[in-house]
Amino acid sequence: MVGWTAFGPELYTCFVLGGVFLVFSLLPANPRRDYVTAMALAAVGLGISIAGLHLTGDLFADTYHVDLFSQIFKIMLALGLLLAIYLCEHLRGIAPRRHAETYLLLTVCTLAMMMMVSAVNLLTLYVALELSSYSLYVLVSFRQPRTGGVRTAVRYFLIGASASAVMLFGLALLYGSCGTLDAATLMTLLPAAMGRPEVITGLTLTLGGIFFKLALFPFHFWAPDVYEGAANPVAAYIATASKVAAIAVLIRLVALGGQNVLLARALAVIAVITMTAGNLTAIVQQDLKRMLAYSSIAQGGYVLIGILSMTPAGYASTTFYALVVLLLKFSCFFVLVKVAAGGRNVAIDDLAGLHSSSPILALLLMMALFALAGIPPTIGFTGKLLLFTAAVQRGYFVLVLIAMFNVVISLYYYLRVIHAAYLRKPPRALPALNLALRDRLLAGVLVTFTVAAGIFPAPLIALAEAAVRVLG
Amino acid sequence: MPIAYAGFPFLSAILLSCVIGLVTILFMPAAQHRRIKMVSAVCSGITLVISIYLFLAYDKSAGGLQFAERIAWVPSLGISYFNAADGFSLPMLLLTGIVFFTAVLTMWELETRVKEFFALVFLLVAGVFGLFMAQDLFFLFVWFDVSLFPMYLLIAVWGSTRKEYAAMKLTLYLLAGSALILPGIIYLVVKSGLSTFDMLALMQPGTFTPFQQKLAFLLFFIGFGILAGVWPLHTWSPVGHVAAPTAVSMIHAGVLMKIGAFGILRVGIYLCPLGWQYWAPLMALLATVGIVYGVFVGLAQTDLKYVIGYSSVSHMGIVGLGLSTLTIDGLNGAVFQMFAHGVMTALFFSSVGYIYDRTHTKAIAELGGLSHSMPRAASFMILAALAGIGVPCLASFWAELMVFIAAFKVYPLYGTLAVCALVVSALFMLRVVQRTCYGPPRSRYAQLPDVSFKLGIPRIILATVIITFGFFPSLMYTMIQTASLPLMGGLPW
Amino acid sequence: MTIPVPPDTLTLTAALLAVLLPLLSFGMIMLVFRHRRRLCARISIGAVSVSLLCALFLLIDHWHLNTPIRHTATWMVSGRITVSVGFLLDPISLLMLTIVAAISFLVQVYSLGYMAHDPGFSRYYGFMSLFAWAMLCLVISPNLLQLYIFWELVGLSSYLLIGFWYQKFSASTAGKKAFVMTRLGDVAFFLGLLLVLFNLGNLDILEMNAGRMPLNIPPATITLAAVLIFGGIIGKSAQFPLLTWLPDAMEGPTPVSALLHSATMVAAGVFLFGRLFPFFSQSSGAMTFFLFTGTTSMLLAATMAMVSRDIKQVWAYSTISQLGFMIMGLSAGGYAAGIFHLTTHAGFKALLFLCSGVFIHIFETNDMFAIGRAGGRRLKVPMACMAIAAAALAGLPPFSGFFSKEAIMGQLAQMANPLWLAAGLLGAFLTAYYAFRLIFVILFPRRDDTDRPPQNAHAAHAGNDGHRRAYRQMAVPLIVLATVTLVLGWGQAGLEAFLMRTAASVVHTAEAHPAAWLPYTALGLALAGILLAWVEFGRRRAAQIGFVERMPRVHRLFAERWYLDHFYRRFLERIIYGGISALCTRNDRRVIDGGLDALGRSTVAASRRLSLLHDAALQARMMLIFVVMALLSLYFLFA
Repeated sequence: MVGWTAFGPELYTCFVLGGVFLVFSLLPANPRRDYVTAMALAAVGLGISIAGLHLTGDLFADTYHVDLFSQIFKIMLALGLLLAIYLCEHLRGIAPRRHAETYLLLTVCTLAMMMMVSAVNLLTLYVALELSSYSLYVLVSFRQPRTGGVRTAVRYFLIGASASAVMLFGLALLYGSCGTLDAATLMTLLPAAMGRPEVITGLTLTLGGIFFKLALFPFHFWAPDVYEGAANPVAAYIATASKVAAIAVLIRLVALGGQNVLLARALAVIAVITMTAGNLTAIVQQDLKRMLAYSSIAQGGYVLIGILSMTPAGYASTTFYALVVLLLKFSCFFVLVKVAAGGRNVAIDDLAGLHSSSPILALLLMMALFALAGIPPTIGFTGKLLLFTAAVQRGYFVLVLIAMFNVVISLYYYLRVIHAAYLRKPPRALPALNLALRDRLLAGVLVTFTVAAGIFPAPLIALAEAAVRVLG
Repeated sequence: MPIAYAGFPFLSAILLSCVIGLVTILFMPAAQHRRIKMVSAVCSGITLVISIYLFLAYDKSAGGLQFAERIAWVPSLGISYFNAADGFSLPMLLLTGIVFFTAVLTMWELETRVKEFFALVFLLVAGVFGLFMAQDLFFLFVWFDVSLFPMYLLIAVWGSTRKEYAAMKLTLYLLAGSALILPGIIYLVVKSGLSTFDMLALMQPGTFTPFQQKLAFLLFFIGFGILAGVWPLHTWSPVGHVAAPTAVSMIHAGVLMKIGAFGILRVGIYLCPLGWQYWAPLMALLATVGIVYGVFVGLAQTDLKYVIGYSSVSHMGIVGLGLSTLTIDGLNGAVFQMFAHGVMTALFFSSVGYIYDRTHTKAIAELGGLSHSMPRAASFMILAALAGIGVPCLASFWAELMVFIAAFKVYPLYGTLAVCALVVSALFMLRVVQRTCYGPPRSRYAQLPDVSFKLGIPRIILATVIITFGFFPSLMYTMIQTASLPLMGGLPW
Repeated sequence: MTIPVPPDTLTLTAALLAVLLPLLSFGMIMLVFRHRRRLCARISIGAVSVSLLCALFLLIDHWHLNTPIRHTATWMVSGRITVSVGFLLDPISLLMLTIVAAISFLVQVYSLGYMAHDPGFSRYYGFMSLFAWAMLCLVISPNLLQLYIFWELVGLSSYLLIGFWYQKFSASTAGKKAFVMTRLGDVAFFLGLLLVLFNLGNLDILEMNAGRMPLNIPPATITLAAVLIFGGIIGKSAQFPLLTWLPDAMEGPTPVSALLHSATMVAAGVFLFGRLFPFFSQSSGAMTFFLFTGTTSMLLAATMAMVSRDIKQVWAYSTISQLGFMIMGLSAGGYAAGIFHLTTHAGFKALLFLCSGVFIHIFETNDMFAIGRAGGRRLKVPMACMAIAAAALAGLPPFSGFFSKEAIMGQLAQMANPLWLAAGLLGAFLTAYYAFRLIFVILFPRRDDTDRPPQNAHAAHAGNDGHRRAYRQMAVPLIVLATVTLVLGWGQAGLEAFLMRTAASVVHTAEAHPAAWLPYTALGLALAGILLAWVEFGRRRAAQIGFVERMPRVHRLFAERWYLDHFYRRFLERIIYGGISALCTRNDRRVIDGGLDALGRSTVAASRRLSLLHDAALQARMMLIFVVMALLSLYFLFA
């Protein structure tokens, strides 16, 4: 029975959340009921995940490993789900009758991701990955008008399919050369076998599937389209929870290979290209979500810096950074959803006058963007400091320099947004945004947390370090 | 280095009063301008009082770091909240207190977005104070950036003349500097093998190889040098000065540029002495070019604030020249110059700001005869200009004297050039004074009010400081000596 | 080196009082009592009169002193460099202290009348006190750094006083010019000072003068240091080539010209020469250079004075010329002669200016012909005093100038090269000519029919009470100075003995034994000059056109100050503003700033291009995915 307890968060997500919405999707549409139920259930789900923090155990013939590392990520995923659902209050981008389905798919996707972070057999991992991807393809297609949503979803799917193909090929290579897809076994075999081209190629191609999730070069093309084309809460979910899961899996996979210079070099090149391409392209974007997409791509590049140092410190910093990405990206999308009238997309210029129509949102946006740019004393700075320290410890000093210059570039487009929010006069006087008290509270909490966690990062760092210790 | 821990956390109290000011203002209704200003004045006054107290209470015979406070912050990374003050940081703290308080009083007439303005100023100054007292590299960097990023809004919202361009340029440029500093800091921390950000621990001789010191010092020199206005990385500063509102110009030129020089001193020189020695000739060259170049470009400017902006480039060049001499006198002079220039330029900007507020122009050609309509404002400006020229018995003179003595000894050619630049500097400062204050009275300015007593207070404070340290330079030099002597390992020769 | 002794309490008190009271007065006037005009004047005059009394007391008390008195305190310490402040009392400083205090006092009293109706009355007295403080501290400096500090402050007060009437654009321009040009010299001075500091280890004047240096320092360094320090003298004493600021400085109020720009401040240069005389004499090359500079300035300025119509400008040129003459005397080795001429010159030149001031004040013009026509000669006291002073300037016995000039001539006669003496004699001729040209122009005016009878002249005599009082207040100092001019010459022997008292060990002046013909020649030339002036300006039918004015090109050359100002203006416009400054500015805008902006622009352009790439067709993107992954595999295969 102990084993099933360890599976608690997933079970809850699968049966309670999934079950309820399966039923709801069959009932007549009632957005309010769906939303309230979803919020309540997701909150309980987060509670259960937190309660399950210290669970450990192996399930399903040792293909599924529950440890501190996975549980921490599960908390982040449950949190991501909750926050994404929070944004669905009005959910204007999706037809009301599909709301229940949306919650269902979000739940399924979260479940799949939870399984991803716990999967220690690469085949399990692959299945979970596909499950989450397929949920997202469908979610993206829900965007109204449906023609646009479906077109975006198809593009997303095509690139996702290529990534899957690449990943499957990699898995095949790995299995062919090692005879197993079990992570624990691979971990003993791989470091020694990494000298063989087919092994390292296999591992790299396997990583390709994760690159797709994390929108790393060259799999990053879907991100701008999907962010722009998906409904705002869905885009928020993709930018937050989906990234977190991808980071977790990436850490697990790279950790398999021990410390391999060749792989690190390849990853370094990918990191540099990813962040430079992301940051540079973001400069001219007019659509806020597109800009955030490119910024997400760039963040993926930074994440890779932590991972490619291939040390516990590097993994810990990446774990910490996952939380950073989750919170900051959510903050941006929170503002975006609140500003977006009728669930439409928001151009950067539309933020004009935000400072006077809603000071707290403007403040939240500014803090989130500065934090994304890594300006102290925010959590974003602490995250970058940890990442870069880990990289310098392994001697990747030049990489860090390049990353820092990318940070400067990124500041340019973040400042553009802040400029719009704080300085631009709106073309016509905007009515003050009517924010519910809970919205304001949430914004306040987010701002406080962004700063407070930047000033007092010690507990979070300790947690992240403890988490990666179990990776061995 | 001896450390004396404080019975009462004075240094934190300075930061705390900034934070309290910030938080109080944030929770006040935006419409209560007067109250917000009162809170700002009180909180900044507290910082000034504490910094004066610390300046006087520092035990010069004991030297070393005093008023220290240390709390382990992130033990796993070796980060501690470690503040302390020595003979280099106390003048800077005093300067910050003075400029902060006077800047707040100078902005007494501000009416637009008052709440945000003062909140941002508090944030900025908290960063400045923090940097001057930080003995931990992590916190030093945090404070460094905290003091930079409010600048964007301060300039872009409340500024003038190409404010958005200037704000963007300034922010990106300065943060490009921090993009060099952070890797430098991480590099040193990692290479030390001590996994600590504690500067005292990192400062032990033999911690870093010569190569590491050279590399890191170069990063710090460029990174902090951008902020210090080192030629040719200076172009953000005149543009920024011109665009910024008065108080921000004061803080900016008065204090913020000093952060750059102080960073070179505190991080670069203390941690990488060999790198310092290695790069000193380059520093001296750039500083000298800056001194000469600054005055010549200043000569051609038609905008009052640009003139002061370029004079800042020149004066900060003197700081750089002092630092590059590798001598006690050079260091003493450089630190004193940081202080003296800060006060002088604050007075200058506050006078120009007043003139701009009243006449609505900064163009030298449109001004004239202000000594008639606003004699007090003109007098403050003349005093500032004279201090800028380096007239004896005003604070800058002593600083420049020491730097020139040191520079002439170590780099005779650079020293001579820098001294010769004094002539041109006199030419352009007096040209500005003549074109704005002197000349026949202009009817369109005849009705403008002179500086009132209330607005005069900050200017009187600044003028008093300039004159006091001009007559009693030893007040400052005995303080600075307590830090420069141990740094240089005792007396030379 | 003579070991200085510390002062006794009385001396200490007197010296401190003498120098600190004017500072106190300056502070009180500027900060507290600015709005109470009369009180300001009283404070200032009170302070300077105490200074004068103290100076006189010190002079008399130490008339027989054998060793210098020195008192120093530390001003600041940095490393091993100690800046000390204090005073050094020896004959030259005591003498100078008295001169400065006395003339300051007289000029301030005189200004009561002269500045009576000026709106900036209190400011004027404030600046005067500032000047008195700086100048007094300058002359008693025991070390070169203190001297330099107050040297600069004196320059500052000069700037402030020249531009005192700041509403006049020309006045503020003249002030700026004076400051910048003297700054040019001061920079050289400062560099020389640093050179001495690094070679000697300190800047103590007595040590510099002790003559111990040649042992460890190459003579070239000493020459260089001496020449550089002399740069400061050139600037301050308006010697060639930095001489054009002084005539322009006449834009200031006339009492200022009398005090700063003739008697004391500009004489500070010569004083510095005297102060460092033993140091300078160590380098004969430098001394020759000084002699040359002094001679050039003396002759150039005299020629300029010959053609000027502005009464103050004539005296300004004359000041330059006489200062050059003093430098000639000093660099010819005549320590006592040079300083003695400095003393007498201070008296009669101040007198000349103050007399001119009365004319200017009453007739409100600087033009000597206009003053003459307006009836200048009716002002008996100033006219007489001016004649006395002019006679002294021309070197006529029994006035003080005669004795001091003869002493310098005697010294020049000792030189191997007779050219210097010839130049000196030529100078004597020219001096007498231009001095009496002015006197005759005012004394014997040629009336135009258009001229109305002067009203102000009557007003001065019979007009309102205020004017009369002002006139009287101005007349008293004139009479005092005239008396001094009359009697000072007889004190030559005493003064020279006094001056040589402590300097004898270091100043190796060969006792001047001038040839018997020399005084007669000099006197004869002076008389010839006066005669020429009489012929051209004085006699009844004279056309009042000088012989120079009959030669237009020469006249132009002299009137345009030998085109020195043209050169400077060209230099400023072409080289400084149009050249370096424009170049730097363009570099700043185009290269540095332009480069940065180009960097920003190209980043954005790159961004635009990348953005287009990202919008490429789906096939291309998927192609890229496979290509990149294939490349990665290849890399692993062959790495």
